[in-house]
Amino acid sequence: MRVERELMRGAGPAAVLKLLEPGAKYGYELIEALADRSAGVLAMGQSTLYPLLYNLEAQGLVRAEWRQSDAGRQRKYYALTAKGKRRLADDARQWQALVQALAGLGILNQPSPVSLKGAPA
Amino acid sequence: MNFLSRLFRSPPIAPREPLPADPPAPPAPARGFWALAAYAPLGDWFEPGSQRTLDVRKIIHDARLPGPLPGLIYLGLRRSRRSRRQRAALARELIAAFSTSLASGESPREIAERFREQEARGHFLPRSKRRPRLDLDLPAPAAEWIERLLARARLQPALASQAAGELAEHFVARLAAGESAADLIEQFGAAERAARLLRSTRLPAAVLLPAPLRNLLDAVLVRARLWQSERADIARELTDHFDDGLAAGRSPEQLVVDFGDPRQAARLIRRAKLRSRPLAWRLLRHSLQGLSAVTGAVLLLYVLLFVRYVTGRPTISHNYLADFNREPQAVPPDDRAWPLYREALLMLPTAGRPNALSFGTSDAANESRPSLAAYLDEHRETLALIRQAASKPRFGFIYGDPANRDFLMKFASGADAHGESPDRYDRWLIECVLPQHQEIRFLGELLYADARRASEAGNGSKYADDVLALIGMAEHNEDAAPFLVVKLISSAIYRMALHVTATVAAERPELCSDEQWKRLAHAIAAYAEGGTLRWRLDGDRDVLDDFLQRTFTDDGEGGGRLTPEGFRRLYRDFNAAGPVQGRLALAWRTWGVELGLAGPLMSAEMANRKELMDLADRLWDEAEADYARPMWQWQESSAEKTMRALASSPLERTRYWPVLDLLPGTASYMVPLVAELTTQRRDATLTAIALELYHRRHNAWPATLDELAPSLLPAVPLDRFTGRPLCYRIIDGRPLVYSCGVDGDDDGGRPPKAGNEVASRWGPEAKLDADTIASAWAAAQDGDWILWPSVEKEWAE
Repeated sequence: MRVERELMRGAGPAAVLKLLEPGAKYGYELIEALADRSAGVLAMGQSTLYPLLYNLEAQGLVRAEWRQSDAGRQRKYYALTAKGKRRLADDARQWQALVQALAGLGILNQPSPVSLKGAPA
Repeated sequence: MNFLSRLFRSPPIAPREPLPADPPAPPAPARGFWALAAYAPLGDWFEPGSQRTLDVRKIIHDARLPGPLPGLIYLGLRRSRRSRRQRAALARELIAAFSTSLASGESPREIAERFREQEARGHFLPRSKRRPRLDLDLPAPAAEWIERLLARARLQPALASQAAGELAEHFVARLAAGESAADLIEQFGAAERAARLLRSTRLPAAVLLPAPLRNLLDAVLVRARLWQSERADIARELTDHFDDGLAAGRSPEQLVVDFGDPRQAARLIRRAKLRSRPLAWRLLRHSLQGLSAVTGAVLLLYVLLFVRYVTGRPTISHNYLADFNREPQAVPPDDRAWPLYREALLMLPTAGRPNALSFGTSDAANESRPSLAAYLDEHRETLALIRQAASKPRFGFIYGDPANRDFLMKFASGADAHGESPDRYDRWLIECVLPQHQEIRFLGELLYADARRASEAGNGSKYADDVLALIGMAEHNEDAAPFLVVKLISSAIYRMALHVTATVAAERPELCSDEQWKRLAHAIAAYAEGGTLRWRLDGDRDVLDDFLQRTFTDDGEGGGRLTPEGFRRLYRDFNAAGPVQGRLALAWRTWGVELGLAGPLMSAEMANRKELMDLADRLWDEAEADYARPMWQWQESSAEKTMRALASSPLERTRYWPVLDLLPGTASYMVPLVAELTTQRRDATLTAIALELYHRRHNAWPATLDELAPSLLPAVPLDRFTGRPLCYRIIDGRPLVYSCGVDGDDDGGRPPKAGNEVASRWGPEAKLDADTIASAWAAAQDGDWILWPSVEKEWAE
């Protein structure tokens, strides 16, 4: 299932920030993780992901750094900044309130938010 | 493999075909306005005497080098791949070096050979434009592909060598793996296409991507329009991403599909990267965007103004010359003086005219008396004709009369000076010459000299006839078109009559009988209907009307805007003052006026036709009302204050230029001042005649001028500077008539030290006592203005 672009615009940054919470990742990893852990719901192409990363970087929410990967290649890794962590916590609260509100309206069946696969609840 | 060490070999620059040993001479320097515009640095436009300092043809031509050197410099510069400014600087350097070599005894041919060799080795190319020579140890097709790629990519030498190394290593590895060179080239596609990506990213790995991915990357980077460092960073990241995908077993086509819309990616990447740029850059960008918006708006406004301007056409609906002709055409031919004046003027040669006013005025002039007397004798019949003309009741000049053709050919350099026909509308009134009045002034001078001569010869009858003819001639000019210049000529001729009358009344009063003096007095008093002289200058108002009808559009309600024809006339032909002065004046004249770029702006800035006419009418009326009062009540007119205030502001001066340029002479205090001074001289001359007649009756001079009225004068004339009776004293048994002059106090008949005439020079500044200069001037004017007996020197001046 694909999410409408407007919904994706709000969910995409939060999802990427959440994926970076455990540790730094490079672009290909992020794309793979998004597709895998959201069962394809939040999958996005490079044409969306990289601009999103650059935007987060411009806002100071993530920090980019070229460094050697485990495979020995130079890769550009993205990591959460302190500001990014605060934004993630804030976004999580807002999403929680939104999901509860939608559940109260009967749009959602379950009162708790969908947790990303593998992410801490 | 130490690839880089083999990359460059001597010479490091790929040699080029040398220049011909006997090159053709350089073309001649360009001439004309566009050459000046193309080859003069912008800064030169703001300096007088701009030079085409960037024109290498001119620089080479001016150096005058011998042999093949000029041609070699020119050809060398042409393929030096430098900017126009750099080429001009290089040309000067080469000329200086060649001149030094020539001075040291080297032949032009030797210098030329050395120059050709250096030039072929790229010595004069900018460092960034020099192509490295590659020597790749690869199969020919692969090496050629890399060379073509690097040649098109135009990288700096160090970058090019690094890229060549990486590419060659990749080719060697793939060839070693069993792939053929032909397969590899087919896989990588056209080198020209890949070159753009290499130039854009400086990243050889990006060039080595499969063609679909490379094209995708190229498309994204081209559309994103980012800085070099940003492009390289994105290219590296995306290349890594594609390499990961390929390593994971995905096909290039699949990766292209997964990537998404490259246009959207480029747009979003650009937006995100711009946000990451430094604050100063973003501020500059927003400023430039704002500036661009303003510039665009200004340009749009200019275009609108331009369209409005070029579509403006004047409507010429009124023929003012025909108006001037209406009255003289109604005069019976026998009553017209002009045909006789014209005949007299055609009888007189234009060359060798004597200075008739000098007759008897000074020692120096006396030397010319014999030749002047001979001239008068020679043209005795012409003088009789002039007297006959002066006795006619009306002037009767008709503009466009074919009978004037010979006269205009002789005195106005063309018969068309007034238009071939008065019905023609193509004659600008402001350009309408008035030789008929200017030449009559010379006839007046002859009459003046003849009257002086008659007085010395004791011929009272001839003397009186000449003076009466002078007055008649002055009346004819008074009767003609009401232009300021015509009124001034009338006044000048009238003053000749006054002067010769006053002089004879003082020096040879016995020359005329009582009856002759009375006759002269009545004629003098009747000039311009008597009273305080004033002139209405309706002709000059018509000049402005006519000027505006030919330079402005007509909206049917009196308004209208400046037309291209009007702009050309105003700023090119009449050299109107522009809104800028000083260092920008040359730029204004060159770009604004000669190219006409300022036309739309001036058309928008200049007041419309109705506003101009309303302003002119208001100023004229104010000046006329202010100066209608007698001179002793004058203050500076509000019209002159208004004109001075408008002229002091560049924008206002531009806005009301036609009025400010055409009006000051006619709305100034100078015109009524001339009328007042002429009135004063007239009154003094009439007083002199009355004194002579009184003396004849009583054999003594009157104690006061009151004794002359009412038997010899209707009333005692007033001093025009004070409003009190004219000053009168008997000094050493001789009467003296004078005015108190500008300072207004009676100094006992003593003229100012600076000269008698100084006492009569009234001006608005004379009222400004607080002003230092005005005070100094007022001190110089301390004294009286002597009116009778005349001061000869004053007349000679």
